[in-house]
Amino acid sequence: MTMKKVMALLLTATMLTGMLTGCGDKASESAADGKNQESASSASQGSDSAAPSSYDGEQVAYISCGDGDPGTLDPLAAMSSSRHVCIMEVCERLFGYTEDGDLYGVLAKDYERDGLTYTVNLYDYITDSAGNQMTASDIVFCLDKMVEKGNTSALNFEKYEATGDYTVEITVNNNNVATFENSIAGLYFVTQAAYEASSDDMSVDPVGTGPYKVDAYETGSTLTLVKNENYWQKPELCKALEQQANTEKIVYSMITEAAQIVVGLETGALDFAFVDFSAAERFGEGGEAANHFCAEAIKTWGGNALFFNMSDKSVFKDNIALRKAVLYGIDRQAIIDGVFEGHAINPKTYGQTRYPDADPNWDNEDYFEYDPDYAKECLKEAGYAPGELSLKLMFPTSSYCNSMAEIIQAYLDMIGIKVEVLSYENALYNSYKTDPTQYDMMFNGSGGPGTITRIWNNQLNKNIYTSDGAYCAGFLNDPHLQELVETASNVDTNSVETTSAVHDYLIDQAYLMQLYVEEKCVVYNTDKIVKMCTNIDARQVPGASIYVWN
Amino acid sequence: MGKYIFKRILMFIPVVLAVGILIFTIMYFVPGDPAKVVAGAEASEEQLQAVREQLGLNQPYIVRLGNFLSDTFLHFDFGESYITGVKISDELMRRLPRTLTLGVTTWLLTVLLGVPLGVAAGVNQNKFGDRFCMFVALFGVSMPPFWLGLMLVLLFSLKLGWLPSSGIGGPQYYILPCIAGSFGGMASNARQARSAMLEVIRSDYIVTARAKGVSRRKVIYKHALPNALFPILSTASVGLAHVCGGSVVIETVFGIPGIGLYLLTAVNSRDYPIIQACVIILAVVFAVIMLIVDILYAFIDPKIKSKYIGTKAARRKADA
Repeated sequence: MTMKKVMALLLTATMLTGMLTGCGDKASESAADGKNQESASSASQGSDSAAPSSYDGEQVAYISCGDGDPGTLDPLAAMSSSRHVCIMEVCERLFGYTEDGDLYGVLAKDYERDGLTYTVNLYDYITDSAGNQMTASDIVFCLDKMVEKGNTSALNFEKYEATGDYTVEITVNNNNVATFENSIAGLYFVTQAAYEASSDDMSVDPVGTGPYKVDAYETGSTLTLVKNENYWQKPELCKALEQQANTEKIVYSMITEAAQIVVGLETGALDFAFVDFSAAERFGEGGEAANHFCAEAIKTWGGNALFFNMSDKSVFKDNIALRKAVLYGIDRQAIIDGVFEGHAINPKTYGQTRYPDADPNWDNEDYFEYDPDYAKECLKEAGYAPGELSLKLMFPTSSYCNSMAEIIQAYLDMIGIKVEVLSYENALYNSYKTDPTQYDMMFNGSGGPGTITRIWNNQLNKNIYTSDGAYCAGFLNDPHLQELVETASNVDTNSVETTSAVHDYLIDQAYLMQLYVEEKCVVYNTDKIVKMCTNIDARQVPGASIYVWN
Repeated sequence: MGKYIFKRILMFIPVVLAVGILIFTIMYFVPGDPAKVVAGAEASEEQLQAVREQLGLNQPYIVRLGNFLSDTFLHFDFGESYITGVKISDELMRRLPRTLTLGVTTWLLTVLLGVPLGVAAGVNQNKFGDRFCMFVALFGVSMPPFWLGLMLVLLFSLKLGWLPSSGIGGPQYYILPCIAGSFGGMASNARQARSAMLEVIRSDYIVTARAKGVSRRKVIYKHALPNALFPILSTASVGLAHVCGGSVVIETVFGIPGIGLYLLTAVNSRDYPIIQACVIILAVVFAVIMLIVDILYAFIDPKIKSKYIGTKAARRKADA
């Protein structure tokens, strides 16, 4: 009897706890319970742009870093995505780029091109937050350091020299489309004096020329930036989003746990974060927390393609029918619906048609459209009976990739191909990519702004993919494809025709298939942020965002 | 006693050395090329070779092991991260206090709550208190810390708004992680304490004491508990090492940048120097805890004490 009472008591306690944690409608109100409560009065002003408001709290934006701790803030080391986010408003680039692939000046006033050589003219009044003036010799110093530190973008420059106090000449080492643009727009520059004054290569205390400066950096936890009151550039000449400073302070949180990011938004510990689309429902229209938050999908340049193992002993080598059986047996829309809740782009080429050098007409053409009957025919033509073939699908561990692999496994099973899914963490995956015995098919991620020929060149030009030019991604070694890619990538021969030739040939030969182009979901607190800005790289730019106090 | 402590400290050296050799060897043979992580997936073979040379990855096993042992144990230098180039010892100095704060506080909770719970269960065997305590212990053992952590966050951060959900700052940031991390250990301590108490209170000398009219309270706290302490101390000490070394889950869930999170990130990116440094630091922490426990044993266990008391007279006294 006593035991029953104990059980009843505990069950009651458990139910009460469940009610407190899981139910109720307080969730949507809790954003205002946190430290940002002072801004609640402005919530309804929503998207009414930058109208002055009566905001009297501290002008601070709490932003999720997204990709976790960068480990170091050194602006000259090989760059990681999280470090880009953390330093892009502290340090500056020579140029930024537009979606059309054009450059605009940030530290550079303008540039001239002569063949492979670019003459870059700097503004002559650039100073960093410590008061050091930036000249051409600082640019050369930084490029030297980048090469020394293995920053791969800087390795595309054959030579560089200061030809005047504010003029630098940079020569690229190849004639491929947008080599200079893609390389230079990813590099940050600082003054030699500031860099040498730092005892640890600016790993925790970068001093840059940007509109913000580092106030505090607690590795693995938070990075606090404060406005640089002595920012050098005149407002009318600020062309980049990263040159604006609409809030006094930015606090980046390095939270990586997905559930904690959602809790952080709702408790007011975060004003902005990238979240999974499944978690975004409660912040979007009609969601429980919609009154205080806005959820938006933004385009990215990233995505995954399905590559075959094309090495000599692979079943796919010289068997185009088998490759077609696989590619036509996969329903890309099912992947997009099942894995990304419909929030991804169904691609029509390897890469995406959003690139400036991609032909928009490709959007109207067929691209391995799902056809299970045709896939079965191809399998028969390839010489395999249903259930006879078993393939290994390799991919880097992530929730998206795991789900995609399971869907592909199910679809290929329907046409009679067994698939073994092999999920490896990144280091192992990257090692196994160059081992032909480890996989039959793999997911291969590629992307980034620039041009579609850059993506193709990086993955399908064997002279770039390997130093000995033996093969490209997936051990693909087709001289005709090589010729087509080189022709399309070269500045002198690049045209709609040569680009289309690569696109058509990849489809004809069924060498690979882009599975999806990723979209990201951003959620921000509308009690404080009127409009959150993201740049061309789909990275958050809190300094350029519009707040209720602007 | 000094001799005993000295012997224990001497034993400490081969343990840490063996851990160093073991972790280096494991990392040497584990698949995955750190050069590819450093240089990027699109790096050419030439660039990869350059990175391998720069990091010393192209040297034979024995040379690398020698360099590692010499740098670590003779120069106390863990080197720099392959990925970020940041000095590892600096990073460890920033992170270790957080892990120790979390670990020690969690452990104190496991002991301060778990042992009294177990003692109460033991002295009230088969009664309501016993069943209640054991149910709580079972509950604690069964709940994964990451799940419990998230539930606590939902209740205390999201719904009630009393405590921060993640990150570091003041003491309030450690409350939820410590509670989430302590449940498993508390349950183990409670079960151990209960077993130990049950064994002791069935002893003849306890029955005699009760028969002589000594109060129940005095029998429990003065006669039974001190003798039940040995197994409890063993479990509790292993628990301290466990919470310090196994903090990775709690640090990840609560975003606490300690050694565990540092280690986890390094494992994913094959950052060998960080992995080796973290494992050695955790081994040292474990060894120090074991050393302290052994010394405590010596103080509370007359059998050990007698072996190391300096004079023959004293030894005779102890034997008597």
